Amino acid sequence: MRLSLDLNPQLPPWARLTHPVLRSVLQRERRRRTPAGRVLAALVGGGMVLGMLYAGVDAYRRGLALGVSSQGESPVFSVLYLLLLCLQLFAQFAALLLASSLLAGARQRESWELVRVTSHGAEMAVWARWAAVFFQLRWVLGMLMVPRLFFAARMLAGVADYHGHQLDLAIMGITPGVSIEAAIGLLAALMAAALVQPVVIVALNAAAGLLLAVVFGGGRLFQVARTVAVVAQAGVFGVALSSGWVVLNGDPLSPAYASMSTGERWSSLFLLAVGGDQSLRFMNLQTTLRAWADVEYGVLLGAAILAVVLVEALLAGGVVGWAARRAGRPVRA
Amino acid sequence: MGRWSAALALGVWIALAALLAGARWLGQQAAAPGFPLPQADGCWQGVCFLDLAPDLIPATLNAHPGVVPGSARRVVNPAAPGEQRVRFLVRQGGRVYAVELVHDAASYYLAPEAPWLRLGDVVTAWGAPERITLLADQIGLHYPAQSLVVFVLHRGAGTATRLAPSDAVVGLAVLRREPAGAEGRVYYPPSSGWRGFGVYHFED
Repeated sequence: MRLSLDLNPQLPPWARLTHPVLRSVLQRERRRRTPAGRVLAALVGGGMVLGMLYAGVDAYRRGLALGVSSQGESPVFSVLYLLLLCLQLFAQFAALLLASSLLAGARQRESWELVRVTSHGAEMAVWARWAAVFFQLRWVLGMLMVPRLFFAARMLAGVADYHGHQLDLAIMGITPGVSIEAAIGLLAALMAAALVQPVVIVALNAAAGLLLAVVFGGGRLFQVARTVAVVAQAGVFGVALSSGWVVLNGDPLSPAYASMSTGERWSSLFLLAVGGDQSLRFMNLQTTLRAWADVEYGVLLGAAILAVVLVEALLAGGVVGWAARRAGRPVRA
Repeated sequence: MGRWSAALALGVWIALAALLAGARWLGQQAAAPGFPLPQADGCWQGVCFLDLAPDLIPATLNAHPGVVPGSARRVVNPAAPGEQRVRFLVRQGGRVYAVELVHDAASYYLAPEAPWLRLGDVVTAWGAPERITLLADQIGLHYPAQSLVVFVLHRGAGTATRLAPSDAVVGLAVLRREPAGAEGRVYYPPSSGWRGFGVYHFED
């Protein structure tokens, strides 16, 4: 709570907990769930998290790699990777579904017309529902962010290895050749992207959910559009993971690996980072440095991913803004 | 809000770049770890094995301040009775390293009894090798200016291998220097020029 209050002055008015629209959205959602329902959801969620954690530990003990390569991955990373991946996908789906449900539900109530005729009422309602998604998913976002901060700290410690020459060794002979200053900037770009990606992808999905609710209303077409959006996202997620894993988990000495072109390898890693695990794999320093060595222009991945994340962040804001303006337009009879 | 997130991402980027530069600088301030490497003149810790009579080596090592007193002793290899082998313990940076020295008139070879040095430590100290060669189950990294060859295990199949900074060094060979005026070096295949760490496909 203290953190929220401290952050409040930095946030736009509609994203502050003190804002009446946001407060009413959050209170309505709280009232919608009974205490027993909340306990059940917490038990089911906690059980699933513990189950996946156990699966990760068990697989690591038996020498099985769940989504990660057995070469150069730290035990903590190997254990947590699958759990974080599932949580990430859950957060993406939840953001899209929550945002669209919140707005579609509000538009179906009779009070929506009153909101709409109020000056900037509908716009404010859309923005507040976007902010409400972050408050509702704050625990999931926290569970995604804390391990990433831990991995970032491990990466910083890893850079000090080899008498402070870890990066100097990594850039020897890579294509394109880069200076140590550029390597630091590019690694920082990759880490920055990886740290903000979970928040940005939730923002983008919530924005997409609001857009669907505004464009399709709350009828059958809306349900179909929402299902298509979820299925499409799951498809992209699966394709991105499998293509990235072929490069990162494959045997670089095998003929199949050697037959892949530079462009194929690079685009597979890029797709993994922006459409799959949101750069989680690259939060292991050895994996990132292996990608720099094995994939030509791999050192530039960080800059490319950060550029995409910046575009996604701006796009999310733009989409919500457009949806808010559209929601406030008068309805044609 | 989108601009706010973008500004946050840029701020995180700049902060991380500063932290990475700081971590690198801190690492460089730490004392050099690991087993002491041979010197540029071909000697090791002031002991010039190539100039010593084989019988004097254990006593010379036992008198050396970096060697655990009394630890140096000759080892007889029944399979190669003419071979000169000495085992000794080196104390460095609060750690003790068990070493086996194999020597003859033309070279000496230091091998760890347990991993004590990584390839990245050697490349940090000596820079890039001139050439790397595949020798049965080992990869040799050649530093002709120092008459030094560093060996790591071949972790690949056939003539393809992968080199990583974390590879454990399995031996350091110091060769007697070629006479002045000798030019050109011959590397027997399969060998390759140094292209940094990563995957190598040796030329036959």
